[in-house]
Amino acid sequence: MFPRRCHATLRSILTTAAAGALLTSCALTGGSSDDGPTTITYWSWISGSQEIVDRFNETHDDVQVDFQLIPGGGDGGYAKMFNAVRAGKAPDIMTVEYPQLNSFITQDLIQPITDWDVEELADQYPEWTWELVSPSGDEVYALPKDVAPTVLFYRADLFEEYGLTPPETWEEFRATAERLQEQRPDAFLTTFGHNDSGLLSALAWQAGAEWFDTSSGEWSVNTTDENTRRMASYWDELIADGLVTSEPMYAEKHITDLQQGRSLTLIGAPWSAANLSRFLPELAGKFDVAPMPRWDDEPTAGNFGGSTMALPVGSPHPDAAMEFARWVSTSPDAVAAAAPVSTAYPANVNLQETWATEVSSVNEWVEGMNLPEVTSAAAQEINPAWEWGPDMTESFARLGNATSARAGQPGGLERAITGWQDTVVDQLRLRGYNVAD
Amino acid sequence: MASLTSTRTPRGAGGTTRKRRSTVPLLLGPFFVLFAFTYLGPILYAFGLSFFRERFDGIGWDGPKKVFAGFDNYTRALSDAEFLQGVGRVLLYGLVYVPLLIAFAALFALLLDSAVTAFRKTWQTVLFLPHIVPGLIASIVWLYLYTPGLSPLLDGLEVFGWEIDFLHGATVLFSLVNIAVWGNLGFNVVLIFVALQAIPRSTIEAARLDGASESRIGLRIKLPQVMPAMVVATLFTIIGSLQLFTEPYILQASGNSSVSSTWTPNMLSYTAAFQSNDYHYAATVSVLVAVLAGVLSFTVTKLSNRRALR
Repeated sequence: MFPRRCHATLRSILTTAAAGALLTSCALTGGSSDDGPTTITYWSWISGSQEIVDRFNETHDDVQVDFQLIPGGGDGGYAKMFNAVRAGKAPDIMTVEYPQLNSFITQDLIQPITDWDVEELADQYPEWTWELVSPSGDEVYALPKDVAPTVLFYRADLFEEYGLTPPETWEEFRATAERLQEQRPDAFLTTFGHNDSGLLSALAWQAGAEWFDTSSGEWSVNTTDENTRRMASYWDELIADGLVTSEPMYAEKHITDLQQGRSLTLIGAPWSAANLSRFLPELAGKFDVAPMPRWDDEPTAGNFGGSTMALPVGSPHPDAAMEFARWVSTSPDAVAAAAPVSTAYPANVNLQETWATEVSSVNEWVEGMNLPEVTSAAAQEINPAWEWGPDMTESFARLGNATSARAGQPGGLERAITGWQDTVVDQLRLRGYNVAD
Repeated sequence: MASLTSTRTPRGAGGTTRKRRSTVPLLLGPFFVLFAFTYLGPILYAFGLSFFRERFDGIGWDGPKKVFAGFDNYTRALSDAEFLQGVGRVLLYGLVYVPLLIAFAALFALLLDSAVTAFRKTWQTVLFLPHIVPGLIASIVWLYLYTPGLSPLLDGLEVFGWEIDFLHGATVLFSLVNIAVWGNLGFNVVLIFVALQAIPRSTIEAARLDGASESRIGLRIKLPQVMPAMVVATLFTIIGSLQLFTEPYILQASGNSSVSSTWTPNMLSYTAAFQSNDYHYAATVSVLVAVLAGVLSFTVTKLSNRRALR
């Protein structure tokens, strides 16, 4: 985990230095906005951004984009954006993930983009996605870039060796875990990332929970519902019975377990494939993907990641920025450019076919996997009623605190998530939000 | 600092006094300008921030309104279980860490200073080496050593039948003290050792002629004379432990320990500012930590002065 983060930091320093050099050279040549192209800055940490920007710059004369790699949102990127906007030094356009959109809107960090005729694009995105970028119903605040329907990656080779098939329900998932341990007692069916708040909310989302609600005109929070409890106690039991291991995801231990075939599946989303390919290049061809096991007869998926293009308050060149954002969100060219390094699934339904062809042909690791079919089915099964809270970076951190502290205790996850409700309500009230009782 | 310097300057020879007086502001000026910009300014700004807060109408789509809060943020902090627990934790941490560090530092400094130590230079370097490692890196290294499944240390302990969970429960406090002692011992040894070197050798020889043993010389002759250095070391360490951040932050970020994102007051302040964008509350917590550090430093100085007078 740490080497990766240090690497990113080093890269961001280098990028900043390079950007500084660029700026200086621009200043020396005295480029003005009248006679040359408009140069805009784009802040993101999403992999594939540089490739997308390069392609855009090659194909456009009127606007040129200067990509600046910033730390991941929760790792300081969002704090950087907040400070930049407040200081009047906002970039032209930036990445905001779905859970954080509401805090960016309520804290006046991003502006409505409805004036740029984006509503005509509404039917190009899944309903739930459009709801999340226009949470107030009146204005649209961001253009969806990618989405992340939950899917299950599994070691196809080992599944075959042990005579297992991808489980279709969570009940079967448990039975599969038991059958695996009968044959190989030191292996686990999956590594459960107990401290990964994004994963936990995706699992709750899939289980039918709706943690936040704004329909009453105030915020309401509900993490103690039956669906959340069912999901949490299910994992509590799997952990208690030793059928899965509870560890931070993508940390050293998790990667070693994946490498050595001790952890056989990974709950993820399309983007996870690129992550896995970087950590486990030697396992290319050994993984396949299946739909997430479901709770009831009806297939459902949650969303675990994804990002949007948002226009900060004080964006120096909003028109040029929106031209770029619209291109990223609607152009097959953007998807093709990112495909060699990123497996993130485009939010725009018109781009999904391009994505399917591109990732399977340029990414060796994904080649032969069932990823396009499984993903496109899952993308249509996401509950559109889900809303995010107004301070998710903070709320996620609190959820991580609660689950890390109770990890491995009997019933620990269920108590952590249900107890988290009171914490969130208190914190939101102290922060100045109106929360219903 | 300023008063010390200015009381000393007039002692100069009569003719040059006026000239010296005019150079004093010139030489001190840059310091005070930077001091005001980077220290006083931010403190005043934080103090100002702590009297405001944000409110939202309805859901909040129209953005926040900044409102005067009076002492609301202070009452919030003083009734915030997380803040109070955090203060409790750093005080407990200091209670374990400060005496342990100073005692070890004094012991090692005395050993280095005693005539019997061979390879003095080597020992000095070895003791100081961990201090060169940045706290961040040290924490990551120790995190590996504390993590079950990765740590050779834990595997070694298991051979003897000891299974210690370094990252959870009450143990985690001692795990953090261990990282801090490992990292900071060398610096404090050097601080005290340098003071020891300044003791007139004649007093030590006199004690030796009177038949005092090495350990008696250490305790009765040397230590009392390096008291000021030890007070300084204690003061720095107390302030440092109140500001505890890096080590627990790294353990927290690993996701493998019971350390929460609001475990110490500084972490609470960081979380408020950089995760919730609540700069008002972050400023309040910082002001309270500064006040606490001021009170503690003042107490330590007073107590040690009284002892010195006795």
